[in-house]
Amino acid sequence: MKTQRTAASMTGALAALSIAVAGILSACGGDSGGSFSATCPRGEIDKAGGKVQVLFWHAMTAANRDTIERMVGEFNASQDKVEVQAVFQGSYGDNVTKYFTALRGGALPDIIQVEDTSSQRMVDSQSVARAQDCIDATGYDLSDHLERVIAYYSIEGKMWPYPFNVSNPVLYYNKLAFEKAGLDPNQPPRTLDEVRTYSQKIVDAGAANHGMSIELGGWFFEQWMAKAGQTFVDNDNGRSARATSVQFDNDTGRRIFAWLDGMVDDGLAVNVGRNPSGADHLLAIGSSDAAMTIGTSAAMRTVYGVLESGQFPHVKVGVAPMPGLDAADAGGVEVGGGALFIVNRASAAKQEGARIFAEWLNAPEQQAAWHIGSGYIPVRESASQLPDVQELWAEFPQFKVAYDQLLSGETNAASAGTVLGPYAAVREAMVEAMEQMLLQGKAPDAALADAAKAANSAIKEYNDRIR
Amino acid sequence: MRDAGLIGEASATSSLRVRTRRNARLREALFALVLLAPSIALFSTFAFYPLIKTFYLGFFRSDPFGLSASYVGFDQYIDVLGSDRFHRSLFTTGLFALFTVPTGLVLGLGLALLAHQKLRGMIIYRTIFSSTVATSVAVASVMWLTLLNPSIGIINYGLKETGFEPINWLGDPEWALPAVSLTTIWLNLGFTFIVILAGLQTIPEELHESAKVDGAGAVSRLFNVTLPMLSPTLLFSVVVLTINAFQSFGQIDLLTQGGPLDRTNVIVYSIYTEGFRNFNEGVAAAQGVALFFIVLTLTLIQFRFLERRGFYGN
Amino acid sequence: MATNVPAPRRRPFRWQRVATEAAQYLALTVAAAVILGPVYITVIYSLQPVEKIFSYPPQLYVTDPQWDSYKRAFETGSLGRYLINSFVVSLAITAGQVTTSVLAAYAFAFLRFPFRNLLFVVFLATLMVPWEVTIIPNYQTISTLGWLDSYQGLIVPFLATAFGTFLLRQAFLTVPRDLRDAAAMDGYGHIGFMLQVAVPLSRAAVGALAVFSFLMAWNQYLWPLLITNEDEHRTVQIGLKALVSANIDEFNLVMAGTVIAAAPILALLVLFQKQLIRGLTSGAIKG
Repeated sequence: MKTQRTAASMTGALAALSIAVAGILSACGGDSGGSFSATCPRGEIDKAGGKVQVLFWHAMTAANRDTIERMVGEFNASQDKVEVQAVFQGSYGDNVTKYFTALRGGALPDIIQVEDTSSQRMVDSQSVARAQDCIDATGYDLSDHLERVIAYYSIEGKMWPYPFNVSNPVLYYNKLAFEKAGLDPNQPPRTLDEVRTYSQKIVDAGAANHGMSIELGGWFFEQWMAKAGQTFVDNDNGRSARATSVQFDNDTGRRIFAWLDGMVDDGLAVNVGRNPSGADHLLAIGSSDAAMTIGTSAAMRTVYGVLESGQFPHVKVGVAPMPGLDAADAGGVEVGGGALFIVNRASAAKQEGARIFAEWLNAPEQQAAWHIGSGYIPVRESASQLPDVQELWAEFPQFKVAYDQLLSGETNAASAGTVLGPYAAVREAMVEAMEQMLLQGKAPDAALADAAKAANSAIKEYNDRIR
Repeated sequence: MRDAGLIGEASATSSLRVRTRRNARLREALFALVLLAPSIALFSTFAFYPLIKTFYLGFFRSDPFGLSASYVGFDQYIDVLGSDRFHRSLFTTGLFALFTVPTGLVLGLGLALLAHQKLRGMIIYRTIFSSTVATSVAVASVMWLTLLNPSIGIINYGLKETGFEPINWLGDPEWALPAVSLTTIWLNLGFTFIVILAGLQTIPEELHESAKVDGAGAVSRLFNVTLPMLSPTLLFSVVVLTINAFQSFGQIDLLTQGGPLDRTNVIVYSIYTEGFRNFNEGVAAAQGVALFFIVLTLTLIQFRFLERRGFYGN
Repeated sequence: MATNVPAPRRRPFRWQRVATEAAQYLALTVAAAVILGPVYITVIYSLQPVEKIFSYPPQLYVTDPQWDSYKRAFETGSLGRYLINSFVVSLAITAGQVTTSVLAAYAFAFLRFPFRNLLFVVFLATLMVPWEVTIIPNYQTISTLGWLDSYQGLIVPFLATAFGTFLLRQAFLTVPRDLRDAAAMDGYGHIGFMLQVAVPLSRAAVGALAVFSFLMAWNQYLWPLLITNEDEHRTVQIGLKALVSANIDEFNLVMAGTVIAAAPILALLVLFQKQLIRGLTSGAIKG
């Protein structure tokens, strides 16, 4: 009986879906989703009568999953209009895979948590609603949100997803190794040149095998570009129009590559490669293979939980802003983490319910609770002023570093970060170039030029398929 | 394969008249169809229909969301299959198969022979030897990730303690594929062991007895009785291990993500990247079809060489 | 190779037999230790607090086992409900695969029909279709059938297996030819011969197939994740994935979850080994 009911409802849903798809296809016959109808469902829940069910797909694991599911429970108990069902869908990658598979004719969520790099693809899929339309229609106040966060999730000046879990890269370092090398543990390096000088001292003093452990990834490179005020791709990092080519093959990019190459070649940095465990760069500090590393602020709890657990008596962790190219750099770091997209295939009432839920998660109290329960950065200023957060920061000032870092520097096209359809392919091109440079001895300039070439062809290929 | 139906032949030759023989043959064919029908129906729906669809998709350049697609004919197949990258991943895949299949087979056979004896407590050893099948690819990869970790891994610790240079197993281009192969061999060992042990059980004891009476030693019995009798099982193991090698994905994704320097970028990993990371359905389809035909050809070759030499082919 | 048949000739060399057995035990134990290494480490890790896992030099024994991680893994991963679902799905798939494989393998091994070899190759070909390209079409099929979030969606696509057909065909091929003639003389039809001679004689292979089918089903992750949203139908590997933190601070939970998920399989393997031994000692079936 259950089967029949499911089958019947599925047929209904499929019929509705095919009508919706037909409608969308006829509505946007043209290119990159430009013909978007700006509407915001309002008052639909009242019309629907009774509670609206909202399906929420997320990718939070372990303790963060417990926190988010607890918060969903609190939301459901807090009002009587919307009932959110939170469903874990594996990793970020699994979640998006499932979403794009379901887009070909299946069951979609009403709201979905998506990793930072996937924004452009979500927009291109023409399956998500633009948050800005409701922000404008309801007069939702964004003035308390961090500028950098709004910038990161806006395309052509319009916010697409609702922000949720925000992180950024910080420098983790071993204060005891610094002391042993005669460095001031309260004066962490602020530039890449200083990182090099410090590393030399650390190696010379035998405080660690290397100064730094380095993970090969596109993220750090992008962050260094942003801090230097350089856009990673054209059209203002893809924000004023769809990006058509990369811009990293310039002096800034070459300096970064040359620095990486020199550090590894001279034995000042240990390359942990693609970092399959996601923690090799951190564990290198524990095993005295390195005294510094750059990692996501979201790993803060891990870092303290593992490295300062007493198992590593030679480690005392310090946290500092990510060192940039020059001390005078005016730029800032980009936002990392995930955000919430509302799916436009859902009924108007469900979309409205999803929006209410997203707004609730963005409220100061929830952002404070989320920060405390997960280690992600609060997305708004008032959340950081709440007593719970202030207490946490007084006791563990390191949690404040990533937050302050997001406030410092200029918010411009560069620090807004990149939006790009084939983000995965471009990052792969970057990692391969780093591998060729560090493992095969290819000259930094040549490696970087090849990365740009591969990235550009991936972008062209993607754009050709979109049009 | 041509000798597969020996028993059917026996019944056919016992028939006397041509007409009844024809009838019997028709009945036998119909009966075969009934036996095969469930599998055929399921395969058609869940393997061949998607395969044909994939083949067809290879003719299209599609947008990442299945919203639109334009016909490009064989161009995409030619582009993809002619690219250096594809040839390199083909080479990597072949190397991976070479590292994993023979070693896996020999180790599995050795373990099975070792465990195919009547000794007290053998059930414990057998359970241990087959235990690697109990771990999924994901779990095995996480386990090996820890063992192979350059900073805290036990393997490097052992190397250092015994005076060897530690090795960056997954980060060194020379060692990454061997390290992934090691994980794979371990992972498949339980499977090969179970299959070969099961094969050993079906060899009649009398054969060994009579060989022994004839004065054959242990080595002679192994080569003249055990291995020939085991040949269908060994053929099965080789074919399945090869197919597995060509389709290994999970351990690559979790251990090396195709790197470093593409040294572990096997074809299925590349298919996965195109299909699920770059959402390039057409390219993934073209590679998928190519992989299909490559493995099919390899399997047919293995049958030609191994089954003909098998015991029942003599 | 040792033998169970006592050979009178050997008696004077008893010390030699003891030495042989000792050597065998030594070889068995060394092999077991190597194979078991990673498993042992998993268990060790599951019982230690995270910081000890990552200590250096590595600690290879547990001083103060933390059983709590099992309880937490069980709860955090909703493993209870998921384990039941995995059992239902895996048992159904195992029963289905054994049935379809016995039928098909019998046809390939014992019956003569046109295009038999070609059809066998076609069957084998299903093993070579990479799932990476079939998973989306199959999702669409299941969705059209209205089988998302259902047991049938989790089970039906896997009810037939060329792997199993191949395995049993190879086993059936080793059934001695004279047995078939003898059975025909005794008036056995095909069904009778299949169920009373071919399958019992190939019991080891059938058992192996059952183990593999169960394992394959048990270890599935992406397919169940794709087609289910409700806890009602989700399986254990999804729960396991939920334990895998992007960070490593709960690594012991992952390891504990791993042990929980693998335990039923190990139990199955013990049962299977017992089955094998009985097959040996019962004197086999004589035609």
